[in-house]
Amino acid sequence: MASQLWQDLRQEQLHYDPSIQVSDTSLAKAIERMQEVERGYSRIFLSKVNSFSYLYIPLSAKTMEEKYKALGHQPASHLGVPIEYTPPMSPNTAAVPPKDDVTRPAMYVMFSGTGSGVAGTNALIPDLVAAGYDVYVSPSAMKFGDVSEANQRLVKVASDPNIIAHPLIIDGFARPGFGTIWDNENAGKGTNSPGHNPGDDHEMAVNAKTIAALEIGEVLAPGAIPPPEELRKSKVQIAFNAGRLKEEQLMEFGTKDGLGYIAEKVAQGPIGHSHGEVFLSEDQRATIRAEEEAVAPDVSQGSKVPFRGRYRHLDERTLGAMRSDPEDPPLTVLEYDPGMFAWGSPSAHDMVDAALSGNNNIQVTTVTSSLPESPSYPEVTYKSDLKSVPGEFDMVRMLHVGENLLEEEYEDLRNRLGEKVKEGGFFLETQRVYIPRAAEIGFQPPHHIAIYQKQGGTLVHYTDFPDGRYPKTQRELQNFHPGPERLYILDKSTTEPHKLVS
Amino acid sequence: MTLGETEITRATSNTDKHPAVLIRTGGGNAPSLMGLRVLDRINAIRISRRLPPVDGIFPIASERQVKMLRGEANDPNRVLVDSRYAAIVDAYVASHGQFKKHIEIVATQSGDTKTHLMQRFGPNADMFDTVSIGSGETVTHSPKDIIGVLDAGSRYPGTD
Repeated sequence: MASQLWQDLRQEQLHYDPSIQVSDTSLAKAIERMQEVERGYSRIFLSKVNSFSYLYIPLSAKTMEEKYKALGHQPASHLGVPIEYTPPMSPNTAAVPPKDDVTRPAMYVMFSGTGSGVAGTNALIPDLVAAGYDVYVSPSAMKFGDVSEANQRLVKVASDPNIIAHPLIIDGFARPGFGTIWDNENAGKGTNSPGHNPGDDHEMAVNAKTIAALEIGEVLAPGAIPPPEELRKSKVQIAFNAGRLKEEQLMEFGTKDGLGYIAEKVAQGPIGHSHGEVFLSEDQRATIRAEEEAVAPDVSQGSKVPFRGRYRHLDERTLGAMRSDPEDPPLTVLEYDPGMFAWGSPSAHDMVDAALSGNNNIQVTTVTSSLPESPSYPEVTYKSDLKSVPGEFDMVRMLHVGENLLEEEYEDLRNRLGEKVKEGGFFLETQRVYIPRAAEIGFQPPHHIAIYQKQGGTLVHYTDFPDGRYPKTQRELQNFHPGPERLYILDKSTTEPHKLVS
Repeated sequence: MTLGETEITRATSNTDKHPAVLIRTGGGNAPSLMGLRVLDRINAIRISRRLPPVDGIFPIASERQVKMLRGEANDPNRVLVDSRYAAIVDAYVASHGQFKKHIEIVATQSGDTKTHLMQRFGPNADMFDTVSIGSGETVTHSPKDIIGVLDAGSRYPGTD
């Protein structure tokens, strides 16, 4: 977090040459501004190994296992915003082994940072060579003149930016920015650096402390390089530690891809879903699932379809208002989206499953956006199964009202239904229910588009949810189900309502 | 009573047909690239859920960065660059290498920047134009299309 880094700098720069100090007033203001930004986050993703990790690694932690365990005590929030820790967030997705033909133990030296950083890096190269290492640099370091003339004959140019992952590259040498550290972490390599230049980004100084605390790199200041034997020893130790850190992180996260990990987490929230969906926590889902399973063990594929586990809540306020008006019949027609029931999960798969298990001759309406030439699960699965059902199907499209319909398609469907309904003085309700293995529990298959006739100005149907309670189990659902005589399914070609044959 | 007079209440709406995510970045290529990777993966997930992919709106004006993103993106058509957005935040991004100046900018310009960002993306802002780095065509978005914000190390004010 920038505000933390700058807060730290306010203290640390008191030891700096006054000419390179940043105005304390400006720093204080900038910190305030950044805190405003940071408070605005809904959640923060922070790599498990981050700038301030060193604060949580006690001197008593000797092994990587102990050090890594200590990282578990890093703060759970920042300015009230929850922090989620992640694998390294490297955007480098190279998965192929590096192509470079490294033949001897070598170091990969990266140039970055200020002029003095470049000079410091150059000063080290002869020492690394003297210690017996080949030194690789990037093509850009040669091209942009970072490598001094004297050093140009000492180094080799790496053609593959992923060279750090080569088994013979012992460690990396670079200004310790997290772009580099993350790549090195994922390669299981250490990050050594030329030491902090006080005029440089303060983050480098803080990062170096974390590297030191984890013992995954060291500062090799020009003029203070240990003798070759000692240097080799420490490089081997650092490489070992870095390898262990990689293992620990893989064990915890199961992936090295921090950005993918973040995307998965982000997609659990609104960005990964349709507007207005509300999702239950893992625990809530587990409870619901257990309840479902207790009533009707789901041995169908339904438990594995991607839609399973997605839950939504009905807008209670809307439904409540409709039901609480005893004088007038409800004027509002409610459109149910799939999987609305608090306990239920939507799945076209389960709908078809239930209908077929009930030996129903169904006409399946055409609603979702899948196309015959690019079928998507679950339609594709059931297309073949439906061959046993009388009738011709180009494709099977189940009602996912609003699930993933284009607005136009949805409106069109609703309008067509609406016209039909108006002609007959009917009410329209679109609805889905979730019944795994319906036949096994002796239950009538659910309807998915139903049209109900007005009965004396009252919509009897709404009383099927007494006290605003939705059926929580399949058994409760049986009590609410309106029965086949009131169930209509729309024919896909004519839009004529057909009575369901059960 | 007919349906024509009946108000339809959508308990939930799934019709966000033109969703976008605002990407916030800092200096260098890395933040944009990080934003891109997350965006790409989110879209893979959305597509698997049969939701429309989201557009990522980047504060980028330089051809060099556009080229970089075009080379790295899974679907360049989902990557939109907004030169106006880039201009608003340029001082923050460009000063990353000069620390003293950077701090001064954060300390002194945040108020104005916030105003400009709100005028561009805030709830009362107008439709705005971006350019798709895939097709090169102008893509117009409404601020209401923005369903989320991904921040990869920005130092400028938020639009909340």
